[in-house]
Amino acid sequence: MSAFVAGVAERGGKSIVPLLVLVIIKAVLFSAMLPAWGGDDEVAYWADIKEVSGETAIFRGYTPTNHGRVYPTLVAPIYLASKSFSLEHRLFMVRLFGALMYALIVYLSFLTAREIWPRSGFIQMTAPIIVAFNPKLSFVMASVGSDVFLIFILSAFLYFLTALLIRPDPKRALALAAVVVVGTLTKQRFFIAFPLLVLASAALVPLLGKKIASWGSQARRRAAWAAVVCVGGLWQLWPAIKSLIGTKSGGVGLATVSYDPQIVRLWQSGPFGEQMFRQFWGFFAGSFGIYLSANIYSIIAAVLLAALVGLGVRTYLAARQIIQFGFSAEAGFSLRVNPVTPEQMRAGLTIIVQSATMAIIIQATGAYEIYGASALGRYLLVGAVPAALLTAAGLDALTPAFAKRGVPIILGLSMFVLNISGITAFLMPVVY
Amino acid sequence: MTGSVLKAAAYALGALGLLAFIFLLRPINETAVIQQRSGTEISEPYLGRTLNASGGQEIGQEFTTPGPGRLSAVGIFFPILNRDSKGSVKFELFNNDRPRRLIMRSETAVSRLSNNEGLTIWRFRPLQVTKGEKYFIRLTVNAEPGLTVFSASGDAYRGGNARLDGKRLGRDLAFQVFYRVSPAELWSRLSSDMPNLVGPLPLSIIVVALWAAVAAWLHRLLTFRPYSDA
Repeated sequence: MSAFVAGVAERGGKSIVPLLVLVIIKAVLFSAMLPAWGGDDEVAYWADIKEVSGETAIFRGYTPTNHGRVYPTLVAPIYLASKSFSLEHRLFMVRLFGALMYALIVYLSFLTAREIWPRSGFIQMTAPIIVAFNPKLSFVMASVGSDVFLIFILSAFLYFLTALLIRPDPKRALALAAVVVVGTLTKQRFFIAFPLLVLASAALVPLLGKKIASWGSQARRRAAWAAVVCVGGLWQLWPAIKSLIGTKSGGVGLATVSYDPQIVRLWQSGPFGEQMFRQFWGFFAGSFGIYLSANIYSIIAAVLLAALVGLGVRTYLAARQIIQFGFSAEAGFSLRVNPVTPEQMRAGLTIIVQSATMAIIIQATGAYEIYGASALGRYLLVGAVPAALLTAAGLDALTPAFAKRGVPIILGLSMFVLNISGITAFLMPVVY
Repeated sequence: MTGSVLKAAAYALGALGLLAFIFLLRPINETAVIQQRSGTEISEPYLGRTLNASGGQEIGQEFTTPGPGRLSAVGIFFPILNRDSKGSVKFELFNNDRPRRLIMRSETAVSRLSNNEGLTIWRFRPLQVTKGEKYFIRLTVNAEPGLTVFSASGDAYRGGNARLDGKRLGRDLAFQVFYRVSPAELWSRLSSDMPNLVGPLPLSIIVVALWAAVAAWLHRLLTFRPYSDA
């Protein structure tokens, strides 16, 4: 833990360390307070861990899930090391893996914000706060389940993709490839990454190509070998990739990411969108089914609406810098297109990637409802980081200079109160 | 040095105040009378079967208060089968004395019920009750093709029975009843009989650590630079 904190501080992320420590302790508290087997499908995931650990897989009548085995393999050492503990304490120990993942997700949101907006302390501070204190995410990260690792690996994917778009570098490309491999093996819902890879490739191929052209012959040979290894790896991964592609009738996988007017109508219909929104922000503790008060959802919706307006303002201002209309009585209308600076280019590209991520996640969640059994708001949590980045960027555009310090403070404290009250005001009264 | 100590004390007090505020901010400080002690238990015996009612039919459930307190909400567990149902359901709560006395009435669209995602909770002005009082929940179905409620396989709850169109069934709905409790009572539950996984002492240590972390984070929030030229 101290090595992790020191590592973060060394990489210039000193300002985020207190928040990361807070997130870890808060996650430990949530792991302790969430009653045994109170997380979403926690019993089935426990059966997964038992299976990977070489024990009888059936647990309390539940059989293992058909998800990838990355998450249970990662937590199996904790499970085996705590063999002498009572079942409740063992569950608590395995849940703590989520505390570490949560801190890493918050850190990734900070790193991504810093890559895109290196000079904005406001966004670098605000985006991690939004991720750190999402009440529903706090409960998911305090449970045993593969979503814990899926949200982390998708956040890592988005960070490396963003970093690569901003500074094309073979090391970053390799890290992205590694994340894609691990993500593919983690869970079918990682399919979200593939359309994004295709979208980003349009920008990445020329950027990386330019970089590779400047390499010496030795570096090129190494890159060729890396490519051979990647292709070989993909061959090995084919069964997992096939599962990611999925089928439309099964309601999951890449097959569902195609235009369907039913999905559009579903989101437009009102109750579905409202339900997903409520569950994304505060639907606690799996089968206990505890929602926040209606007023709290209204306040969150108002803040998000303001952020959306801010994003619009931000986009308009950026566009106005590039495209300038003019009018004079002599010359009539004139149009001037200024050259796009590298900074504008990277900000634009990365915002497109973050927005596309959210669009794909929203589409996929609708597809789960139409083709699958039903959708849950927690499926949107894989977009916790891009949603926070876009919200922070939107709020930044609307916040006047004198309030740049005050807004993150008010937002941070309000979200912290909301987050902890998830336990004291919503979970405890029903469960304890 | 003295200044730093004072500053640290100020932040720590601020963090403590924040945590105290959170504990006192309890808009739905209720606790369940009929409750499941762990997540898996909810599937048995309370979710063993379903009870179906078509348009115009009435589903009911009696319950008995287990002790003195302030009755404040009732929750019912609906399955996903209601997803395609259109219409509404009338929720009524009666004191089951003769004659029945209406406590609360509310009309809810079926689309707003929590389908298979936990309880749909109806709240009302808290009602002072004593031990052994009888109450009756009635759901009048104004929806097509109908409404389905999770129920126990058998007579899981001893304080009453489910009813369909007034006819007593030998089982119970999947339901919970909530009471308001004082912060002091809530804390005593937390530190004694509790489903938390670590016990009172480790939990207290975690809360103290959280308090210190909040203080450090507050300090960082108050000193960060909104913009940097680096």
